Amino acid sequence: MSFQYYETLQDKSKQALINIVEQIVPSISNDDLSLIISDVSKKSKDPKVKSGDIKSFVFIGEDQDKKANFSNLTIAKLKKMFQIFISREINDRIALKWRFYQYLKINRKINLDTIQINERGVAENSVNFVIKTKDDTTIFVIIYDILNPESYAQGLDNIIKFSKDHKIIPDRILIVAKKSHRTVPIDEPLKIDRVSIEPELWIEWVEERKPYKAEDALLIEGIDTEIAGFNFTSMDDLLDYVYKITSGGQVSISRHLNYFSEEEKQSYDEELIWKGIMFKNKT
Amino acid sequence: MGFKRVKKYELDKQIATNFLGVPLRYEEEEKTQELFKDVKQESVSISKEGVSEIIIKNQEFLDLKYQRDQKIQSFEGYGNIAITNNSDKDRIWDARLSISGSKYINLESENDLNLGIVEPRSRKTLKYNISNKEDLPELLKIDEKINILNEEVALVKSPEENGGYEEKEVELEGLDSEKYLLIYGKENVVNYVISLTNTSSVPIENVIFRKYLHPGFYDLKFESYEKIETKISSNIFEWTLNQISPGRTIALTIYSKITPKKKEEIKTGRIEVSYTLKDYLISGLDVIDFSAYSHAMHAINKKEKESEPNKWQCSLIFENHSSFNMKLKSVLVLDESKSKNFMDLDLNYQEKINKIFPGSRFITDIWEVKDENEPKFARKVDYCVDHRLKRRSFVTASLEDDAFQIVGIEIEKEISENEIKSFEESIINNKITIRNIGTIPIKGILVKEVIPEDFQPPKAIPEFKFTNSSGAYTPKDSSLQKTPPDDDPKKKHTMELSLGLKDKQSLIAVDEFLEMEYPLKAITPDYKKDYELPLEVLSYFPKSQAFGFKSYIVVKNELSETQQPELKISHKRRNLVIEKEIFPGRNSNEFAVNIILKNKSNVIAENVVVKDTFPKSFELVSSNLDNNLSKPDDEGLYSISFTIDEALPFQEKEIMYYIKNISEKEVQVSDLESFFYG
Repeated sequence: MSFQYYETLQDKSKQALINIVEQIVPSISNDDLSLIISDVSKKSKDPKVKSGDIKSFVFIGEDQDKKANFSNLTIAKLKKMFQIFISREINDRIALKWRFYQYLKINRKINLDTIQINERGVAENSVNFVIKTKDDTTIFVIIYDILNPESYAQGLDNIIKFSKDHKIIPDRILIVAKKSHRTVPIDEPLKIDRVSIEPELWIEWVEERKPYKAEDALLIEGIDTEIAGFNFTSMDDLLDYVYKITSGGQVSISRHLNYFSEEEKQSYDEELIWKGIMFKNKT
Repeated sequence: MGFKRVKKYELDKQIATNFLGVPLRYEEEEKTQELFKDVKQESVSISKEGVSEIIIKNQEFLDLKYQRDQKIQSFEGYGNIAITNNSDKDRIWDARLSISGSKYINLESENDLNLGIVEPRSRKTLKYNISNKEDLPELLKIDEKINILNEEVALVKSPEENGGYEEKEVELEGLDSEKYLLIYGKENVVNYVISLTNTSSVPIENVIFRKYLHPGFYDLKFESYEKIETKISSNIFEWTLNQISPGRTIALTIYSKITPKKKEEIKTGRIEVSYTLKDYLISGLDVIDFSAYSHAMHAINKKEKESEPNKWQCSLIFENHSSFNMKLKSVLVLDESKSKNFMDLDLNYQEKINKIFPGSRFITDIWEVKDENEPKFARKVDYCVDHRLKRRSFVTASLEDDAFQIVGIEIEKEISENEIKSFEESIINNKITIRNIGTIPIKGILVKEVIPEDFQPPKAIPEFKFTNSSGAYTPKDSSLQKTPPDDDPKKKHTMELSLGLKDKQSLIAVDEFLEMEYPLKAITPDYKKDYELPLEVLSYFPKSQAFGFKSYIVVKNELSETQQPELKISHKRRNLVIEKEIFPGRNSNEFAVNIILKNKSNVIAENVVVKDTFPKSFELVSSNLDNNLSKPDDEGLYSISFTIDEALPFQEKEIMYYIKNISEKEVQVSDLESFFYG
């Protein structure tokens, strides 16, 4: 059992699903969960979520200290959560959007200030996130499942229109996709109001030879937590997350083999997978 | 999670399931891979200026872990040589790299590395590992001294210096390294004096230095005479220095305090440092030469002289058709049979003229040849693309931390009697208990006691009884000193008992105890004096055996006044008065006898028996206490006795009994003033 498909789970009871979903890191907050559920069930958003300063957008990520309670979710919704964040077997734009949102929480190079998310779900080829960073950079994000030259061109047109409508010129444009055709002209700059911006293509990347598996527990020296391996698709992601939650310095990461598997064991083999020094930036 | 920014060239060429369509491939790239497997080619951004460059960037990365004695505990080092062609259009070929000093690296081709073709906007990278752990150049020396300041702690070279005992060198079991001792439950002032010395021959740059401290430390302060950018967060000190010149030392001092409240491992805190060495390679590798060709044209211009037929004026032209600067190294022009030399230029060291800029040309001096036909020459032109070499070493180093040892000692003193009689000899059992509640064995102890005057100190060690957790114990090394050196109870004595100071073994292991008992003889204790029984214990912990002598940390513990056992001298002297009065009774033949017991002492009078007599002509009517009446004796007297169980100090007890005359004879009171016993 490697959390590859929901159907291969032996125990699909509500409590078992809650136990697994609770292992998702970075942790999902109340607002996050409310928006994810309204998104996947295609219902209108929870009115309690703070509206954004852009029409049809809401602020997200401001209640990260309030960890979501999954016990109120139905098995069907827990199944969706599993398929989006754990097995990653759903690869549509909604799933990709929320996985990218989780990635934003740990990305070291995007110093988040605010994130606004389009409350209309994932309208095709439209701006899905407007991100402001602490160094006052504005980033537009469009999510695709499969990017082809036509949808790419349509997306850029929509960005120009969005920019003019809301009088916001982005500093960066992120085109996020599960897969991309090689012929997408990603190196051609986009001009918005005489400002030239080179769009960035971001692909969901799964490192095939990463030194841990989805069902392994990852132990970071000095932190009394076992992080599930399914949260990360590459060593870089894991290191970014560790960088975020530790105070830096000498860091070592070990894996407990098959710790989260459904197989009962008395003890787990431990194996060191990374050791090094992390110097944290001053900011 | 897990997203990655993808550049256009990756989208074009990389084989991945995320990319749909056929990847572009380059034949040349494949050839290069075959020629030299260690070479990795990557795309680079192009030069934005007019002139392109071949940049050879040689970087080395070293991760060092030092033990506290400065020896290298672990070492990992690798390097890479990146040859970058940042031209937009020109490739270079037959690129060769000559290196020296490569005995510490694992590049197989020792001297001449053939890199083949380097495409425009691409980079070839050679990676190697560094293996000269034993022959590493001097770099940044990190030194840390930890000073613990505590009033209860003293440092002595040997117990002898403190106790005045005979000096004798003994070896200690595995305790020869320096120890850092903290006193349990007390505030310990800990100062870290850290120095960073550039022992290399080049400036050390971009130094980031970190010192980690246990979270239990407080009142953290930092001092340095250097202008250093400092940041303190969560008990982590971070300093940033731009540069440390060769031979220079940067000294830093951290002042801190800690109060150990539980028996836990407290680390001294590791040190991490990162820095760079510009234009310096740790492995000793040196790029001696780089040569490569690019687009260039050379030709021999042959012109028949206008005024002299068959006489030719010739010159060699070299034109740089690439976007790189080129170096023209040599020009050799020979006749067809290669027997005659027309031009032999060695321009290797003529930097002013051998540099050929993009688009420019070099023309040799003219030489003349006589020939009926157009002359033909054999020529050899040696040139290469110019390059720029950048070298830098990146070092991360850490200094292993140590653990503080916690010194925890509990002392207790008990006496078997808390009260003795004044001016009477009595023996008190004196028991001292020393418990080791720290994390390090106690090597030896010196027990200091004051035996007050009127008491006799123990005469010798055999009077002592020692016990530890295994039962009765006989110390291998013990001595007793008394000052003055006699047993005269009229004098106050200072007694010093030393145990285990010269023994190899530790005296009290961790979590163990030692009890010592001896009889203390009170000779003439005076109730008017206050006798104090103080106790001071000096515990010896080995600190180091450096410089051929042992040094010890001595920790002093003493009982406070409230912890000292109290000895009361009771002064008990009896003083009883028994009064007797006879009163006439209600009738003329009745009498009341009143006996009063007065306890005028400060001691309790117990079981006082009072006995009286009265004539047999009387009979007992009643009494206020139980009585014991005997039959009349030969003299015709009844005996009556009373027992008073207890008369407290300064208490009066009354006995009253009534008697009645049963004879017809009149009775005088004087007849009742009988013998009284009590």
